Amino acid sequence: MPKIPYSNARSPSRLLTAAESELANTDIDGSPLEGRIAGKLRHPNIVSVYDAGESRLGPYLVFEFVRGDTLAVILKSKGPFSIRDAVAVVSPILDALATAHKMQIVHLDLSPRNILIDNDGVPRVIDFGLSQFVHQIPRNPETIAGSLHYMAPEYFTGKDIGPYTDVYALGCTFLELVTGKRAMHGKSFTHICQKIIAGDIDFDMLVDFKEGPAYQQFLCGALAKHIADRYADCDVMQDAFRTFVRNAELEDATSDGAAQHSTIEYLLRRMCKKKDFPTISRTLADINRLTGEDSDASVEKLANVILRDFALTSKLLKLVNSSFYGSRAGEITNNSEAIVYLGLDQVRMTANSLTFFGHLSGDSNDALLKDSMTRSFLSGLFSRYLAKRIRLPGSEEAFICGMFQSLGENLVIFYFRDEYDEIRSLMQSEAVDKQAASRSVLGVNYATLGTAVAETWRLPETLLVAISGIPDGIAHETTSRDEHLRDFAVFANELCEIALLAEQDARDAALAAL
Amino acid sequence: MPRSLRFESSIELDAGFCIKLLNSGLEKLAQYSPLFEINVETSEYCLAVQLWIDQCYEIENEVVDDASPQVSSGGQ
Repeated sequence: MPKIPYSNARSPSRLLTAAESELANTDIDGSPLEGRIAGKLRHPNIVSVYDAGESRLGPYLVFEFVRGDTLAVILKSKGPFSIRDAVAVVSPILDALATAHKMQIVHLDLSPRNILIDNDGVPRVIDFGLSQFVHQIPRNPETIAGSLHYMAPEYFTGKDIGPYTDVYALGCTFLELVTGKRAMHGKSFTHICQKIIAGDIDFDMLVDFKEGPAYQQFLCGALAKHIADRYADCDVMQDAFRTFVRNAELEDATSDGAAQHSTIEYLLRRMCKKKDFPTISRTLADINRLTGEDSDASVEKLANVILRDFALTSKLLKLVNSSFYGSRAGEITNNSEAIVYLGLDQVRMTANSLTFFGHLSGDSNDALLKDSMTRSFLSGLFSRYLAKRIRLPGSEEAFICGMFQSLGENLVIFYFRDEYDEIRSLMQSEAVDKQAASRSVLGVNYATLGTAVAETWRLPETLLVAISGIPDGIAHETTSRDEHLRDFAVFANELCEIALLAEQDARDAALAAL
Repeated sequence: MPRSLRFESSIELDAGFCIKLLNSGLEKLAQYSPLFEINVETSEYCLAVQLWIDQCYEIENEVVDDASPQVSSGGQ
């Protein structure tokens, strides 16, 4: 049995504080493991570590700043959750830990103190201070660290630690969540240890709940004292949880929609912290508000919004005087004239595309991003041509639909390059399409992310339809103008994508499939 | 929905038309490239599209050449 260093602790509930262990828990090269591990984990339900390093005062970590309270504080102040409310917490936390376990990372200090409910109500796992890569977990360590009431029997029986150790801690946490009492409580440190080793868990408090027996069955697989009887990792535990949710008819408490919403919120928050996303968002939202169907804004107001952005003003005037809109070279000299000449709808579309294109690729030396934006521009041209070919009214709108159809992907290239690389790699290794790969990596697919951002920019409904893509399901006749524009935009983007294939045979096959 | 049916009711195009579409699109792109600060001569993407178009036209020319009647160069 390893030595348990609790002599400095006032109570035996905490064996070694995370702060102490963070400094002690370093990798072979001396860098803090938490930084290395949590830096690899990007998940909407894990508080991000932005940076880690060494200062003259010692190792440091830079965390995402999140306002909220830990589950421990909430349980103390508001009491236990109903099982229905608990489901909304358990589901995303399991998703976060399943992701960590898939990356061979174990947390090893899960408890209500390390789960935060942020001010938007999103549960987030914090404090990877004791975490390890599975292959680096020390065998038979001299000391053990963690929070006693949530420590699995293997800590005290000398068995190997692994992902199932996190499963046990979550089992304890999820039981406490609905009972308000620790799963492992006792009069003394020794008493608690004995109960943990014996697997002596009191589920009696669950009898009052309608879903109690099903919840107990789910938790039994997490709290089994023998490793072999326990869920192997949080991925397996997540499957069992889904079965419980289905059997208890609690699907609505953990709908994909709610999870997706929190993922999008998380991605938007990350975007807002980077570069000039808030500025472009404000400009686009103002332009679309002032040119919206129910707007009675004056030409002057719109001209002033455009004027706020010097680059946009300059490009708008260049474009309106180019042959793109007929030959009026040199005739239009200010925004107000451009608005009167083109009309509100046209200005809205032009300003949207110029702002977006200029923002993402204007000053960039990033070849990948430039090429992606070029592809979007070419898609816009194709869409416009296809719309003109069938004499669909408003072919200019087809241009912007084609250009914005890949909004989600372009945003990910610009804002989340690591995830974009991961998505490309997944597409190649698993032979999945980009929407499936992006959903797997980001939690939402490109189309959903693009649509969500487009909504915050107040882009018109026609564009939202195009960005959403063609829904899965039974084929039906395309009848509305919006659906035609959407189909052109998707087709144009897919055609443009075929050019990325290296082999002529592959291009021929893709073209035939299209 | 099967992928092959997605555009059935909106777009009726054959592969040959797609290549012509690419070609004219690329020309249009070159025309407006200064406005959008795109350098079509150095953009890897534009070069890939151009290569694709060139290869398609090469194949088309080969087919045309193969189908042309052979002209004997020998004298009588």
